[in-house]
Amino acid sequence: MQNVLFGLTTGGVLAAATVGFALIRQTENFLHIAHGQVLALGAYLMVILVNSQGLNVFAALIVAMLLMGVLGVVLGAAIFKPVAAQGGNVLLFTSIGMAFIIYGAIIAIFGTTLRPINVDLGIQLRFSVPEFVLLLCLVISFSAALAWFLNSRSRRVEHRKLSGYWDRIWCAPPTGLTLAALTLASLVLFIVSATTDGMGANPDSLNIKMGEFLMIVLSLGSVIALRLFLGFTRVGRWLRAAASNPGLASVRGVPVRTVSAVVWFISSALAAMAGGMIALRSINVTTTVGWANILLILSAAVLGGTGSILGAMAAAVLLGVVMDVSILWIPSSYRSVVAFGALILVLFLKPEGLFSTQRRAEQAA
Amino acid sequence: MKRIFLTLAAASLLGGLAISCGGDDDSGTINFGFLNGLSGDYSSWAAPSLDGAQAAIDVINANGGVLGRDVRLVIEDNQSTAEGAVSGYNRIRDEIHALGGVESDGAVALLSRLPEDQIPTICPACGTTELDEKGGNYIYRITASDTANGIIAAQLARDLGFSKVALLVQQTEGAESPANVFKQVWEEKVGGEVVADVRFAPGNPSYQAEVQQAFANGPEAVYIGAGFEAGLSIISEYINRGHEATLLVSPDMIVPPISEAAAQLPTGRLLAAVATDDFGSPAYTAFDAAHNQYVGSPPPTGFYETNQYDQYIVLALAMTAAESTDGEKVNEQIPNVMNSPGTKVYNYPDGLAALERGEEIDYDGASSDLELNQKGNIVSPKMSVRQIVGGEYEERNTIAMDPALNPVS
Repeated sequence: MQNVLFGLTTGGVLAAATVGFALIRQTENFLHIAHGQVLALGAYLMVILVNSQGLNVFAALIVAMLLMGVLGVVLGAAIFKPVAAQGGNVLLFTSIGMAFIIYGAIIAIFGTTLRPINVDLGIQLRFSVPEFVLLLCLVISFSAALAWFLNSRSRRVEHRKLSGYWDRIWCAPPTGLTLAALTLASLVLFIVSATTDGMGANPDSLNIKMGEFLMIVLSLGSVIALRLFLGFTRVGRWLRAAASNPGLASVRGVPVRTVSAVVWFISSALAAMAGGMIALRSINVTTTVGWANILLILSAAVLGGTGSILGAMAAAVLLGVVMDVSILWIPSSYRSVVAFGALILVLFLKPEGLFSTQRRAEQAA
Repeated sequence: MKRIFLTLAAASLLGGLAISCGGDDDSGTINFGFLNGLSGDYSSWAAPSLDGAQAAIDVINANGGVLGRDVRLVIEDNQSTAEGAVSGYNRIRDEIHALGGVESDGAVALLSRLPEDQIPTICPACGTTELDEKGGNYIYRITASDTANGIIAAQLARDLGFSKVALLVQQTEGAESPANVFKQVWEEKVGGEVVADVRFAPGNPSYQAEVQQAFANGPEAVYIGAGFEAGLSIISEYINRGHEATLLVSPDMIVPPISEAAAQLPTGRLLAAVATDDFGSPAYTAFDAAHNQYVGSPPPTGFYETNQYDQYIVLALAMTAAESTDGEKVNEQIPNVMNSPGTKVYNYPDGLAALERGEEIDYDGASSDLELNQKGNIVSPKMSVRQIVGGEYEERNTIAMDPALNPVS
C-alpha cells in the first residue's frame, strides 16, 4: 500500500505536466517535445529563486510558473505559429529542435553541475490502511462524479447523442447518483475513521510528508480547476471550439490567437509546476530532468487519449502507480519497461486511449 | 573543374591521413586529452579534477615542456556516460598524443579502441573491475580498483559488527562494479546475510519505492552504490522516512551535495571507504605547492585531483623516456617510469633531470607510490574510511585491506 502512495505522488506530480502536454496536443495538434525542457527550465528557475533570492518555495514556484507561461506564449507565437500551416510533422521537428535549444540554454546559463535544494517537506502524515483506502475511494469517486457531471452537461449543451452500450450506462442518471453517494460515503467514513482512533496510530501505517501531500493536492487541484475553467468560462468554451475546429471557430468570432496564447501559457505554467515539484522531491535539479521525464509525459498523454483533461490526469496517476507498485514483484530497473509495456497493451486493446472522448464523439456524430 | 575537384580531394585525403596518423610528429604542441564528466553524474568532480590536471600541465610547461615542446590540455566532456566517452573520444582522437581524465564507463567503452589507435591512456578514477584483467596495454589505472573498494566496504561492515545488510545499487558500470564485489565478499568471505538487493536505473522521477524495498527487511546496514544525482534523492528519502540503518556509500557519493544533505545525521551513520592520498610523501608536497601556485588555492581532498595531476606527470615522463610522442614507444615506457627499480623521483623536474642523465626512474606520485602490476593496476592503494562531520566528509581512519577477503584468494 505504501508503494501505491508513492505512485500517487509520482503520478500526481507528473499529471500537471501531462495535462499541459495533452492541452497542446489537443489544440495545436502536435507532440510538443520541448515541453520537457520547459519543465526543466521551470525547475531550475524555482531552485535558483529559492537558493539565491531566498524566496519562499510557493512564491518561487508561482514566479517560475508565470515566467514559463510567458515563455510559452512567446514560443507559441514566434516559433510554432509561423510553421503551423506546414503540418504536424514540421511542428514536431520544430519542437524537437526547440528542446535542444532550451537544453543548451540551460547548460549555458546554469552550468552542468547539479543544483541541490534542501527544503523541509514538513511533518509526516500517517494513515492507517483503511483510512488510506477510504481517501483513495474519496478521490476516485469525486473525480469520477465530476467527470460524469461535466460530461452530462457538455452532452446536453452540444446535443450529443449517446453512442454504444457503455456510453448509455456512463451517462445514465443513476450512475451520477451512485458516484455522488460513493463520494459522500467515503468522505463520512474517512472523517469518522480519522477522528475515532486517530490517523495512523498503527506503527505500520502509511506515511507521506505534508509537502508531498500538498504537491498532490496542488497538482491534481490545478488540473481539476483547469477542467472547470474549460467547462464553465467563455475562454474555456472558445478553447474547446478552437480545438475541435479552428477554422469554424474563427469564422464564428472566436479570437483564435488569444485562445492559442492562453493554451501556451497554461501548458507551460503546468510544466514549470511539475518541474518545481520534481526538484523538491529529488532535492536537486540536473540538466537531464527534462529528457528523463518527457517520455513518461508523452506516454501518459497517449495512454489518457485525446479530448479528456481528466483522462490525461488519471492516466499519469495510473502510470505512476503502476511503476511504483510493479517493483514489488519485478526488479526496479524494469519499472519503465513495465510502464511502457502497460501502455502498449492498453493501446493494443483501446488504440484511442483509455479515456478518449474523440471516438465517442465521432460515433455519436 | 574536374581537375580542380580531384586536386582538392587528393589534398584533403593527404591532409586527413597526416592528421590521423598516430605516429611521431616533432613539431607543435603536445596535446594531452582530458576526457572527463564535465556534465552528468561525475560533474561534481570536474572542476577540482581539471584543476589538478591543469596544475600538472603548468608544472610541465614551466620546466620546458616535453621534448622541448609545450603541452596543452585538450578538454572534452564525456557527459559521465559511456556513449559520451566514445563520442568525445572520437572528437579529439586525431589531435591528442595521450589521454587522461577518463572514468570507468569511458574506460570500458574505449578498451579496444585505445590499442588500435595507439593512444596511451592513464585512468585516474576508473574503479571498474574490467581493468583488473584487461588493463596494462595502452590503458593504466592509478586509483584503487572497485574490487578493492568492494572488499573494503565489506570489511568495514564486518568490523562494525553487522550481520544483515541490504544493497541499493544504480545500474551503471561505476556503481555496480564495487557493489557486486561487496556482495560477493560479504556472502562468501564474511558469511553475512544480504536481506535485499535492489537495483535501479538512474533518471527515475523518485526512488521512494526502491528505498522502501531496501529497508523493508530490517537491515543493519545498507550499501548504497549510486551517482550523486540518485544518491541525493535516496539520502533525502532515508531521512524523510526516519530509517536508522547505517549507510555505507560508494566513492561516487563522496561529494559535498551528499555530505550537506546528510549533515543532520549522527556522526558515523553514513560512512564511505575509499582510496586516499599519500599526504606524507614528498610528491604530495610538490603537488600541494603546484596547486597553490597555479590554481591559487590549496587542493581539496577526495576529488581525485592528485590522480589527475599524477597521470599527466607520468605521461610527460614516459614521453621523455621514450624520446618520442609515438604511441607505441610511450606505452612501453609508462610502467618503466612508474615502477621500481630506478631513481626515486617525486616531481617532474627531478624526473626530467634523472632521465636526461640517462637514469631509469621510479616516479612516486601524490596519490600513491604508483607501483603497477602486470595488468596496469596499482598494487597497494592507500584506503581510508570517511564520515560526515558538520556537513563535510572527513577522514575517520585509514584501513588496510584484509587479504583474506580477496574474492580470488
